Amino acid sequence: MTTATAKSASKSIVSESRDIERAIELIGLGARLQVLESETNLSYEKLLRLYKEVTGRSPSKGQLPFSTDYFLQWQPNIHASLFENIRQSLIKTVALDDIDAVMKAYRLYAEQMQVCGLEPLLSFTRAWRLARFIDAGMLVRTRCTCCGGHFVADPYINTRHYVCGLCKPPARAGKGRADGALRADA
Amino acid sequence: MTATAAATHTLDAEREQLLAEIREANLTYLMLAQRLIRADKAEATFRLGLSETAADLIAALTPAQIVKLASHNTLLCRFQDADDIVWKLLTSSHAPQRLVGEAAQRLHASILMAGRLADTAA
Repeated sequence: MTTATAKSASKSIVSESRDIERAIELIGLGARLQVLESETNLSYEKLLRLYKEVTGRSPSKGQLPFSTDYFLQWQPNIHASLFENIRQSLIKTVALDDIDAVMKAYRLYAEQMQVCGLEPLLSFTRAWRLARFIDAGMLVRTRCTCCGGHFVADPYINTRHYVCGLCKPPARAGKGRADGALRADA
Repeated sequence: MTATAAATHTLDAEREQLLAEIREANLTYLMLAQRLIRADKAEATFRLGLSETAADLIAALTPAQIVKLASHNTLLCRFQDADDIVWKLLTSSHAPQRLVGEAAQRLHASILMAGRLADTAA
């Protein structure tokens, strides 16, 4: 606690205002408090106040989902792969801060979903988590041997025989009744 | 004699028309590109499929330069280097194992195109 206050005291106002701006943008995208805490240098109290001011309600409680499995299920994997491909192309063409790349990629992803008439399955917090997993090597981008596209996959997968979920949808894939979900049979 | 002259005349007119249309398309493209890049360079590189240097170049063009560039007999914007499979997915004529919904196909195409962009940039 003392180190935190010492840090905030020595921090410049300019960088704090930049942090606040970024935090507001993140809240607007639907980021959870944990994301804000790790991407800005603002104190928890300040972030909490900011969150309430921007959204008009208290942030959701509880831990962030901590599992790479989610991104390997059929439908989430497709969304995750699209997001990750966009993020990678941004990172590789333009010099960006990590979090800026995530935000821009997420906006492009959400836009694409809107154009396709689908629900953006990936929430911003999920997308951010995914970016973290990829950067930490807990998930990788693997080339599909059938279509040549890059998909999010487990690092221990056999890359020589990897076929993506769109070239070979699993038997029960896309049979759900949820609105805005991908259909495999339509 | 007069008939062939008339024929060449209409051909010239048609050609003129085509050139004007190409010019128009170039102009629209360059202006749109410039707007996109000025609004957000990173996003624009993704949308346009351009490198950062190309984006900087276009953003710095003056109106006079844009007009000059646009008056070419070729189109300045190009089809993003999509290969066969992307093309087929976009036109819905690719059915790999069993029928996948149209939205899924479009997503598939988007994934491939975004992935290719990341590859060429690397």
